[in-house]
Amino acid sequence: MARGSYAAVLDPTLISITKILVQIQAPASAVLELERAWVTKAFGSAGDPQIDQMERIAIVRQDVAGTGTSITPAPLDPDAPASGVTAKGDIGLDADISAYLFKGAADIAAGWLFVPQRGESLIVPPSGILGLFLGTFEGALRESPVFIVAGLIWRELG
Amino acid sequence: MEGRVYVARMDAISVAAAKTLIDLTAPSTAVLEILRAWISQDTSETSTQEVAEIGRKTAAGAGGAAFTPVKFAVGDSASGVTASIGPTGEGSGYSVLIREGFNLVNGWLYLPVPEERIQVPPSGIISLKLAQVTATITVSAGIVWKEVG
Repeated sequence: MARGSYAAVLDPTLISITKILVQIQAPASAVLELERAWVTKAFGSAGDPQIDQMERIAIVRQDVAGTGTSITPAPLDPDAPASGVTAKGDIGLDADISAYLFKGAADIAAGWLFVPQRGESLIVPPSGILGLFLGTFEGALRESPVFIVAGLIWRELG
Repeated sequence: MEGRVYVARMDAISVAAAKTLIDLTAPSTAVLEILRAWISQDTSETSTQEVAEIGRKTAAGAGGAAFTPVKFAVGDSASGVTASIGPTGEGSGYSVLIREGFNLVNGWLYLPVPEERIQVPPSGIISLKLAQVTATITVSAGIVWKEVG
């Protein structure tokens, strides 16, 4: 039974290296179903938000959570209970990726959006960790630093 | 109809000419339903029109790299699909189902509504192709499917 849907959003943050932008860890008592993920360039004093910029983007499973800035998940229904998810943004390289689920590239000036279709459920098991990754560990960003806005929306079941 | 969902990907491979990016061969015991496919690149911000295709084959191309399908739900069983990435040969019996032009900066996304999802019969082969390439690019592409049976 769904508890509700929640969002973890990385507010405009200056990103200089490839990294996990947003990370969510399911509570031990619930399963998460990803509903939306996005990455966009944001307005800021660094970089030009209107210049096309191709970057690699991935949705990953992690076996180790990374350190980062805490994000309080926002319920999409204000009457929903608080989320049990631990969400963080601007993650350090101490995170460890166990599997890549989606891996592609996009013009982040236009923005990148991933919306799973019905039947395409991307599930995070209890205590599992999902991350939204910009770039690759092996490569640099094509332009940096750059202000990024990104986020994940998920449904919490259990 | 429920099923298990998997993805196979080509990750950042240099492509200089039109070719098959991914061949999927269904197991003899299951049907595949294609949920998503994409082609993207990360080496050029120059507006260029290219062509993407999805089609069936009677024989998969040789010389590709094996890719172990990644499951979308950790608790699911392993996929029975044989996924081949970037085969050097094109195989045979190719027939086009979807052919679209797209701009390299935008990338290409195939996201069929449920009623139009491509079905791949047991032992059938489905291919994702870059049917036109103007200049060498580094391609990331993939197919997501549901396995029923």
